[in-house]
Amino acid sequence: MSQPSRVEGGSFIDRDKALSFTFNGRTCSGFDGDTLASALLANGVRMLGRSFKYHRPRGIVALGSEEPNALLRVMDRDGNGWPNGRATTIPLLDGMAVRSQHHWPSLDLDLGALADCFSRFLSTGFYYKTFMWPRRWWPHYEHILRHAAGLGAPPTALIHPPAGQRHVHVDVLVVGGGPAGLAAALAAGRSGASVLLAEDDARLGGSMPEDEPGDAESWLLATLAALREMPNVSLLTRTVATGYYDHDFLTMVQTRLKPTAQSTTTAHTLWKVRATRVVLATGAIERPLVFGGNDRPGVMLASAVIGYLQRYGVLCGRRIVLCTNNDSVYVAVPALERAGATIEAVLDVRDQPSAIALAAIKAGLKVISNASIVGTDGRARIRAVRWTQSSGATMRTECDLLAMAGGWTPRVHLFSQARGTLRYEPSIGSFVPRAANGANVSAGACNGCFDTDACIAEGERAGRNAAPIPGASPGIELAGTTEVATPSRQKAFVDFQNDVTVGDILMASREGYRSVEHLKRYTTLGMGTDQGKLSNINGLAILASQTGQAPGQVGTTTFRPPYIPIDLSVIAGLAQNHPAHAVRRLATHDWHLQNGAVFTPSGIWLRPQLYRRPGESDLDAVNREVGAVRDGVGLIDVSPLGKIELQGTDAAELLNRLYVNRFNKLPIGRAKFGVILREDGMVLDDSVVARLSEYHFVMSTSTAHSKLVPEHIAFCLHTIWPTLRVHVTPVSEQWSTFALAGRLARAVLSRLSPDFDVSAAALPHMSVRVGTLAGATARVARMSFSGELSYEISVPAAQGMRVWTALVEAGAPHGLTVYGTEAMGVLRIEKGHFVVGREASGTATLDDLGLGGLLDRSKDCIGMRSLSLPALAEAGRAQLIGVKATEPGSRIPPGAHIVLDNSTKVQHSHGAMTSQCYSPTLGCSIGLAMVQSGRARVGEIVYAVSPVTNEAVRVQLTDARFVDPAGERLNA
Amino acid sequence: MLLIPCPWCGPRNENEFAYQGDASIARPTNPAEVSDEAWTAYLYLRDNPRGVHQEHWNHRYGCRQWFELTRNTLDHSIVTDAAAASPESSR
Repeated sequence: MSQPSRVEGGSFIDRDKALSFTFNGRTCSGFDGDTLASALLANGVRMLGRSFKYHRPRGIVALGSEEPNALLRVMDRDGNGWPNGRATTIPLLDGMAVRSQHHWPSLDLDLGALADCFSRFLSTGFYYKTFMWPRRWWPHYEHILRHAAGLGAPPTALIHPPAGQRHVHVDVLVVGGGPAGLAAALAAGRSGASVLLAEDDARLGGSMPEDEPGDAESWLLATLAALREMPNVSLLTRTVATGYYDHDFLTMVQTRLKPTAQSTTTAHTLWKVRATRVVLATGAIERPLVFGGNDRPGVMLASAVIGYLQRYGVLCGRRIVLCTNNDSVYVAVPALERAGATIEAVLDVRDQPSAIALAAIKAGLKVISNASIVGTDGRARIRAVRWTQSSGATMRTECDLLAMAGGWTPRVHLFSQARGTLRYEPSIGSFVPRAANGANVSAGACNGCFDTDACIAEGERAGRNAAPIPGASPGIELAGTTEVATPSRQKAFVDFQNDVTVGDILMASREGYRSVEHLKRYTTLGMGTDQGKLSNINGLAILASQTGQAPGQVGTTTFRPPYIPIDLSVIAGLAQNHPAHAVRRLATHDWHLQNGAVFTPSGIWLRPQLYRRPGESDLDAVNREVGAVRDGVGLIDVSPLGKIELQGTDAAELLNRLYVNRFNKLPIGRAKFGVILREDGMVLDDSVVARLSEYHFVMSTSTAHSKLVPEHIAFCLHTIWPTLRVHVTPVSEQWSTFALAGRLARAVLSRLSPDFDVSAAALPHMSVRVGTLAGATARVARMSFSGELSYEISVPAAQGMRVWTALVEAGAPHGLTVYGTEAMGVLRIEKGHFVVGREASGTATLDDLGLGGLLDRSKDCIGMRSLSLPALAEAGRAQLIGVKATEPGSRIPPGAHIVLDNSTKVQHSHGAMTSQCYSPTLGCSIGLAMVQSGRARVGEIVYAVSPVTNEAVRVQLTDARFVDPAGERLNA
Repeated sequence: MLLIPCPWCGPRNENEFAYQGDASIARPTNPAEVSDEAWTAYLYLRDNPRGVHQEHWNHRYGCRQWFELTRNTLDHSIVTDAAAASPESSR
């Protein structure tokens, strides 16, 4: 299809590269370098969607990321699609399929537009006022409202290729590639600093025309050439600085055009920049004017009209009416006329024509001073504007484009995110930076400077880190104070995206919403995906005029990151399908992979959960593995256990102060179970500590707390006992540790290394020996988690695989079975061992877990004092106890509550299940629970109920040691 | 994202560190002699000052050392406590 609105010129596009795309199924064409917005405008498309609340026809208003209306569902040729794409910032790609959204059944016929007819019932606070009663009807209201709410439909698959992330440190970050930003980058670059410049447009130069001969063009070309020659300067385009955080840390989102085999697609890079200095040269946004019917497609910002012409060679209208409250549009008239447009009229709201307006009148332009717009005509596109002069008769001027110029709002978003303070500047009717927080300086239009030469001068000083000087006057009038609209029968919109009108703001003000933050939340002004870039200043000016305050007194709402919406996929980056942390694999990982292991994440580790054999269900596999340990011998890799070396003359003293029990009398070669408390008396961790020599101990902590325990010890040493002579070294990853458990474990070890004496006399329960095993230096500790005769064998991780395979081979004649974490869990529940994070959940004391006897009161330790606080000693605390289903076929639901009544009705909970499993040893469902006064209630019949699964199971409270309560097996 | 001056590793991003609260609170030297009220105050009561705050930080994903720094809770400016962080007093 032809491009009826395309004319000569366009510095951003390459007319040799034609691209094809579709809009709502209709084939359109554009050029390389177009945005979706410029291409749609070129193809004569004016209506792009329906508004949020009233479903009114809407078109493109702006040139860049401030666009409130043109939100589209976009799909590129590679099938990457996403909702709410801003047409003004998305580069046009060949083969794109674009659809309008928020209408039903079609863009032209939208039943939701009925809302517009009933709008007087849909006033500000409508939901709050209407749906309050009867209160029980709220679920019905909510169902309907939820259906009507929301913008766009979520994507069903990943929408972009995974985004990369770049972390960079620079001396100077320049945000904005207009005159001020380029001058700053040049000056900073010449000083030798490392400089990064980020510009969100596809080209550098900002509002400077790149192809119009003149001083500006030659300065721009010379500056760009100089910058590109500097090795210490990097220039980024299509890169939006989205957040300015503490200590001059900024995030930026870069859109890259990425060629694939078939086509080109967009990919993103998330930049995280730490800058020594930041130059903010973010420019300014033109404000709309507020009048009845100002949301009709074909009403655009004047600067956007000029921008589409200069950048893309797109003339948005042939019969143009300009309306303005300042001088900036008069400068643009010649360019529009050269492109073939007729300026039907300039409606100037100011009482008297300014000097530049007088000159324009002299040149033949029809300028109406003291004009006010009454309304607009047209449906899907503007056809005429109705206006009055000095409240006289209403006149009507036909047009196909109404370009509005309401003054300029400095883009102070990043400056304010960094918590700089603002002041109101009456001469531009907006806020400008007052005092910066952080190492940033604002230069150019974002600092309230609107003269190009002055912007360059400000930027240059900012780049050299020189004190800023006030910008020179631009020589034309840019006052642009917001006029409160003439009463009109048509809605006068302030916020296009959220459909907030002048009437809404006036009503909110009458109802007492005088604070701008309250006004925002009540009316939703500025709460759309554009965050009110066009609407906020107009809205607060209207509020100020109503409340009789100066706009500076009303102030602005808080500016928060991100500056533009960011896809979550960009933040997730390469972690979208993987954990964000590095995954730790066992030294024996490949063996498990080849032997049927099902892996499960365990903290940052990936561990075998169970080993599947053909024809087995997962429960079959776990039962087989548990049975092997109970009846023969099993082997498991428990390397993720925390291992900490303590060395020094005060090592034993440190252990005494950390643990509830004593370690100074532990003989060399022996090991002991101990518990560490938090200072508030709750159990932090349980460990086995072995003494290798007089001044050398090894702690074996829980897997869950392998990082936390060393940190706890270091904190105590740093803050409480800085003089203890001991080195604490976490060595968890340096050692592979395997647990060999079962009555045949000793036979397997003897077979592997006949020289290594593992007899009951040489290596009794809770002892440790260092020696050589399968050619590796090994620490063999006899201790048990499963309740069976068991050895924990630790070898340097580099030799883990070799020793593991040697153990498997040595065990083969004895029927050795490798088991996973699931079977390990069943074994420990059968034995009644608590684990941190479940039974020891941070609210359990030593006594609650049945270990009160461990406490040695003849010394102090961390947490000891708290144990005598009344709350920790009172009766009725939840205690660790076993729970056993009374019917063999029933299953105790996970997380069930212990109650007295056989139902899921609301009733008092006596405690909760902390672990549960099927026990193949007992042939029924068992578990551990923390139950009020649990130990005194052994034998009681109660119910384990889960409101989540709606199950109630009859259970008996029992001793937690289901298997071998006397410990005969592990002492064998 | 604060830029935290680790006394051992230099300035590093905040997400490498763990925070452990008010560093001006000392553990009672003889807990057994402290009243329940004083002990629970030591355990649980913390000020939430507007302005200068002494803090414990741990370089968890770095050197794993603890150190103290002074942070202004209003503007997040940081002053390292050089004496507290010196190698002699720190382990």
